[in-house]
Amino acid sequence: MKKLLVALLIAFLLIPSSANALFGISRYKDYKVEKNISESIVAGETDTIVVSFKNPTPSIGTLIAVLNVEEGSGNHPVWLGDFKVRAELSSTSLYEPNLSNSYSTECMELENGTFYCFNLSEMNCKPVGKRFMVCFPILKPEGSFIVLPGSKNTLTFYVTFNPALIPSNYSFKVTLYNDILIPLIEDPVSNSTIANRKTFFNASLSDTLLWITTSEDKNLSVDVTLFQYFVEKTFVPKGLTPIKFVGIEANNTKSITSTEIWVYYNESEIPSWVDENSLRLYHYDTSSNNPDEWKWKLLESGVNTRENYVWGKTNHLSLFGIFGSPSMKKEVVYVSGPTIYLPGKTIYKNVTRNVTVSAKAVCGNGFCEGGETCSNCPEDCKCPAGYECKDNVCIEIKPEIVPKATPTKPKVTPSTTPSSPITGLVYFVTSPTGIGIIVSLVLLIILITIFFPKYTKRMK
Amino acid sequence: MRRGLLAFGIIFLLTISIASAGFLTYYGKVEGIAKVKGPRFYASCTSVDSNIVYKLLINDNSTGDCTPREFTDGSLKWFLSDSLGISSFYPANYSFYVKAKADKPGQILHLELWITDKEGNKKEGGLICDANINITTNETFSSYSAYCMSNSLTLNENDRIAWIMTGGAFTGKYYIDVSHGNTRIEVDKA
Repeated sequence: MKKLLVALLIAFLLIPSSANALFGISRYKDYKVEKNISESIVAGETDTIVVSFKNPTPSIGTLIAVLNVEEGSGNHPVWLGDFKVRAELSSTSLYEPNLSNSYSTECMELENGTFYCFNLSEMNCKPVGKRFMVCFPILKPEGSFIVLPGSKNTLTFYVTFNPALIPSNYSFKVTLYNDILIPLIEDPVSNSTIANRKTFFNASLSDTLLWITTSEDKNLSVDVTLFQYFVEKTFVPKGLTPIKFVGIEANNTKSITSTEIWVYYNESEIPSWVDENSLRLYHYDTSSNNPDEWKWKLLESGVNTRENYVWGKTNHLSLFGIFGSPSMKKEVVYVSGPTIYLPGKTIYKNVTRNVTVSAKAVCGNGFCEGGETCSNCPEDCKCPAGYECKDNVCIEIKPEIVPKATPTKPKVTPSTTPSSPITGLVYFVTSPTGIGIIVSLVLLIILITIFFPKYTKRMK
Repeated sequence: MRRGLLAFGIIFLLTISIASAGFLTYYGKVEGIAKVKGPRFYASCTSVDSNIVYKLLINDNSTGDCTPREFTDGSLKWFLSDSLGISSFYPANYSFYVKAKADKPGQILHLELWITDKEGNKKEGGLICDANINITTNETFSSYSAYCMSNSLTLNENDRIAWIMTGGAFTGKYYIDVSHGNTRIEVDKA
């Protein structure tokens, strides 16, 4: 019985480790720089940057590479055309029959010195507002930037320096993403927090305001990043339209007990078919070891349509997204339409047509959809703690020193309500780390009881 | 002892599996710095047109191994590049390096750098800059250098560069060794 228990314990312990090794936190593993840019280059020449990595997962992966070039002294900014960049991906299966896929693409210089190395012509891109573009990859059996399942990969960048490039030092930064977002604006902010009080962090460059509460006094540096692209269709929760993505990271997350996030939007960023009242803040949950299980989760959040911001409350920092649901949507429906007669003998009856119909909101599906409010569907559009629902709108119960903010340039006064330490404890206990530590402690006690019975008896 | 080790191993595995959880937005970064030097133009052995015009190679010092180019005063030696594919060029210093000898010491070799059109014809106002070299050796080849400077240039993408060598009104012969990148132009910002 004791042996069986030990075997079960070992298996239980090995599963997370092996799952981690198999799937990884990132899809790709064994990333290695095979060759960096040469230290000395003559203008007009072509140099290479070579990296290798493995895709150990059983699924096809996507790949986006961004190359950023900057001139060192700042006196000679990089101009469009100073460099030409081509990327070549060679992906070979690790297993028989060792299939391989090789693809080369000219990287697109969308801004001066910033190259996006994936083929936009093979992406289905739609603008969302003025600053964003939603792109879905059109995966083809061959010829796309596809990382084969179970493969070793070599990615080579061919950087050609324009002969007329002004001699100087140039820095090169290649960032490889198998995730889906590319930073647009990076906005580092810092402040000193006082234990259990909300501290304001103004990241208005990236349209974001934060109130962070820590369990102890801290000098906190927070990196807020506004993102630009995403490409994986599965990345978007079903039925929702993405509006904006913000990544928030801090130098010391352990002491953070709660965070209130306001993300401002411009009405032009909201597609006409999206109901502005349905905008909510979601958090990208990557707590699972299996990336296939990563998903967006609705935060305790709401929207202020008068001042154009979406707010949300959370106890940890990660990637956040504003999503909205359509008020109207286009559907392919079967209607008993007209019978169409074409020349000859062809007759079409009850033709299927694309028609615009009202979106049907489903109360209880976890998404605050168009037509749903905190009054008629509190399950999906519930008001957060400290707010009450009045006339379909969540209104703050205890008004604090409310920041007066405008959508373009928010001016904010931080509020200073202390949060409960019990809330912090609950947050910790329910977090993946907290659960992990509790499980570890329980297992440790069981192991000591099994392997050192004499010691435990002596304790008694 | 064995049980203790086993227990330690299991606890170690558990710790690793929990500690490795995290959030990544990217999986790889490469950062590097390159010092970029101005382009180099190499006089080559490859003839373009009879024995007057030869190729001026851009950043390619595989100029070949050939007998020295020779010419007497009054005739020319041209070294013509391919189309540059650029629309402008910054104010620059041009350093001429020439491996040469002459019949008589003290013969002056005149060097000119021109912008030409697609066909290799000098463009009006296309003189970039010029310089003279005093050839002091008549038996062995020596390396000589000269410098000239130019303001910024406006070009058509099909424009080419011609490096033209002429004698300085002496009747003696000039001998230029273009093998192995010995005779070249190096460019740096002014």
